Amino acid sequence: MTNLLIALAPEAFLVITALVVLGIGVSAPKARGAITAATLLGGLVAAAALLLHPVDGNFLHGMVVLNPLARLFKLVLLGLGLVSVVFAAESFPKLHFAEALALLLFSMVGMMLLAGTEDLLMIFLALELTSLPLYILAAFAKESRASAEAGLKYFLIGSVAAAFLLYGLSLIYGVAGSTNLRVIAKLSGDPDPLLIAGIALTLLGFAFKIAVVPFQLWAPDVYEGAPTAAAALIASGSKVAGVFILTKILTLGLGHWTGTAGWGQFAPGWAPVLALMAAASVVLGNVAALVQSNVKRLLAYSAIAHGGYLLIGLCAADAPSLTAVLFYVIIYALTTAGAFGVVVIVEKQRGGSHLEDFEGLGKSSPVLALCLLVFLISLAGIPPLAGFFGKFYLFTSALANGRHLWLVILAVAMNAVSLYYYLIVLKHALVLPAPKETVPTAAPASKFLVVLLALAVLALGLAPNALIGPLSNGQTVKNIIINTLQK
Amino acid sequence: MTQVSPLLFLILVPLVASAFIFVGSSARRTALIASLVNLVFVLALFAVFQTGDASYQFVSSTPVIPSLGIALTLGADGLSLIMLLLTALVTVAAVAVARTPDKNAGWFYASLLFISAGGLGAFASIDLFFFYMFHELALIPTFLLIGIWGSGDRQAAAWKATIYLALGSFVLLLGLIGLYLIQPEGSRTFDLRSVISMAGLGVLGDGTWVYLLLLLGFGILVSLFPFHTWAPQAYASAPPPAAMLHAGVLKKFGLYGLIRIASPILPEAVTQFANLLLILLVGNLLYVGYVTISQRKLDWMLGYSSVMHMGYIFLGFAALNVFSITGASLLLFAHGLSIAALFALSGELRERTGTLDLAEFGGLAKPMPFFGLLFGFASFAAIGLPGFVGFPGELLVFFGAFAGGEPLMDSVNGVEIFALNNFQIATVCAVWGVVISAIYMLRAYRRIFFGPVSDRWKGLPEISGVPRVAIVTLLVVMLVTGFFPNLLIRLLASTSLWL
Repeated sequence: MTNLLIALAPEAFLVITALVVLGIGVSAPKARGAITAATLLGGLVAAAALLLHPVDGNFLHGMVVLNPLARLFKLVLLGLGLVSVVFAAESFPKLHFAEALALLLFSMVGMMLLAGTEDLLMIFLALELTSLPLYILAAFAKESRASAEAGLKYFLIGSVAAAFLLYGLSLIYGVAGSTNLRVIAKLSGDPDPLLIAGIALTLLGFAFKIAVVPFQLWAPDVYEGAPTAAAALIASGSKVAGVFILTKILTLGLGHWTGTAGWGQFAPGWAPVLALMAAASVVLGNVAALVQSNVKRLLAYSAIAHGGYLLIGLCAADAPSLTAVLFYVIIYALTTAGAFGVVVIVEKQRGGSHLEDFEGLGKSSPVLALCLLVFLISLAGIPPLAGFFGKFYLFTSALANGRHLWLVILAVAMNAVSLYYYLIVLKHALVLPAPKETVPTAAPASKFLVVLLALAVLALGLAPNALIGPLSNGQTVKNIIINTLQK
Repeated sequence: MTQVSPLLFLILVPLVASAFIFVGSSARRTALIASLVNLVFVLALFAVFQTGDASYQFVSSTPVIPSLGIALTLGADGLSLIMLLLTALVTVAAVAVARTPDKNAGWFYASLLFISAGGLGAFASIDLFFFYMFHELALIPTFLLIGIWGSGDRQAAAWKATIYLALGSFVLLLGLIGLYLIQPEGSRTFDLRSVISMAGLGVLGDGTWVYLLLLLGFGILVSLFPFHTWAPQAYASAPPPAAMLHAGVLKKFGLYGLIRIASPILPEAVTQFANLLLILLVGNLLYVGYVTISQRKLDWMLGYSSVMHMGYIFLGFAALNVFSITGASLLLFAHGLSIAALFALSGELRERTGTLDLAEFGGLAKPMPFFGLLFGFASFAAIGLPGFVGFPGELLVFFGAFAGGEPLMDSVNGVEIFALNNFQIATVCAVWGVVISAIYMLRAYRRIFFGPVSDRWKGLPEISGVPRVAIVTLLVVMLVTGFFPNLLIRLLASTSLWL
């Protein structure tokens, strides 16, 4: 019991922090500095709890499962959440600021619980806990029509997707008789038709969470309309948590029905479905991004494309590919969070996030422009940045499997397309002169964080083993995620 | 192997210098000092290099991702050393002739230094992953240099070059991953030496498609016909130092890679697709050659000529024998220096006159005799006249290529007679290419420097100062190595062992 308490201590600290923050908000709603500081402090305490008292184990029949991999992801999610908290100070409306941060904290709790569970029920609850605060946060800029639209759209599509997911999970439960993934994994033989329906509905539900075709439509509007700090969390943390838990469900619970996604040798299972979703997302995301004039929308389409890249690795479903997927999603989240950070600061200076608002950034704020360069060319997969290594690793391991050449060729071709729109942003930021003189706004905390993220992206590109090591050390991925695959 | 390779310092110098520039030290001076330091450094490496030793020297290896067999392995043999010297020389010259732009001077010089670091890193890498990675380091700086400080329709040129180069790089990446995957599972590595020894043991899988990917990827990067259209436009629009570095150094990366990777590891595939490559390279030499003749502007003409001259080097690679590869290696060096000198001179000319339209010039040798002399020498070097290092290079390529392939015999009325095989036909076309380049280079030379001088150009200032020293240096190096090609060939003799 005490172990369970220790295991859940980080989440508990975050909940307490959220309550404290709400309290400060009621008594001193204008003390935004104090509110931010309290939130960050609570986050650091949670991180300390996570790092200083590592417990491994399986509690409540798989409802809470902790192992090195889960802790790593909890830490990453916590970090991404705190990054959004810092950005929130620049991009959220002043009214009800404490409530916004409390909601951010609740969403982070949901994500962290998601990273540490092997139970369908808990997965669904944690997903809802992640999403509901994000729906509200998306609509939080109460004076902006776009924000209201974003919130409503996100909520409606999210609810439909949640219904799909719940239906899918309950069908899986119905067939397996258990909500525990490791018990479900014991099913074998020809799949029950109900199970097939369950898997299909689950995949659709997750397509929403990680913004891939066919549930990608919300992403551009939400990224554009939501307050940028909320969009940053939706794009980074929410995606990491979604990809991590999807990987776990598919490979840990449903590993028997992987199927194959090789060209001309499709075998039924979830891999070919994912392959089609991946192919469609990669093409749609990259092509639609070409014509965007708002950087946040552009990042949304790029997020769809990156979701597609991730699914390619998931299709391959062997230990190296899954390690690559997990590596890639973390790198992607760090990079996107950084890019959103630049957007936050530019928005504050110029009042918008259109391409024109970035003009002259290289002159007015060279450091910020350099960071933007790092983030965007990392997303484009240019060395020596982490994004390049992520793609390299992902494609190499997907190819090593020997079956996914068609997907990789498609992805590589589309990646060449993506360079164009990333460079368009850079062209505006570095090449074109500023239309009007702008006064650089001081946003020291956000700026510091952006620089830190850029350094991390560079460092992980030069020494990727710093992250791949923990991901693949002691065969972590193999034991924790795909033990059932090794038939 | 815990010692640190001196080559690492070579790569770090420009990177550290760019960092200094970003924190505010004088851009031009820092860049010039860094490039001179590197030049001295490379010359020192030449001094301690053991010519008799065929293996890599100055080797150091730091594991980066052991699970994938990736390590930062640096080392140099004769060919790499020659390329490093080329890079260091051209960098010095490029920085020396650069005009500090009004806006963002720091970014300008830092971009040049990054291209230089990319070239140095690629030529000093034994690990294929880093070989690729260093080359990519130069992609974004190239885009910025053309896009921000270019001339003419610079946006279009920057986009076209970047998209082509990125596409080429991605195809190349697929090829390199392929090369990794055809190795037997469990011993996969990116270490070139290990891959070559695996190829020697015959344990590699079928490499045909890998070779095609490499040829396409490298081919786009080297502007192999018909993927060459990005190059002339980019070089015409790029600021002269960027054109010098890119045409002189970076474009050589593709051919260097083919010689380095494909010839020792995939010789069967090279032979199998030799006819395809021969057709394409004749396209480079003759089709692009004629296009070059028809150019009306000096910068475009030089851009096309740099595309055309790649044909000789491809020929040397395709023939795959010691003569031809040695010649190709010499030509990598020779062409890099001559095109850099020409782009530097054309940049100086534009700086003085504001135009590069050949029709507007005439008689410039009168106000600027020394400029004319330098341009003449650089043109002769580009054509490959005896006395310049291009001459032994072309000669060796022609000899080697003529001996390439299987000898072909034909029978007429029952009598066996000698017939030309495809290599020999391509060699004949390549010799014709020398005539073509003589035509356009000498014609440009005559139009610019001879004839009556118009009043517009009477007061043009002579070339002087740092640019003059830089260009003279490039020409002197070409002359010295042209008269004593053995200075370079003795370094290469060991390289051809792996054929």
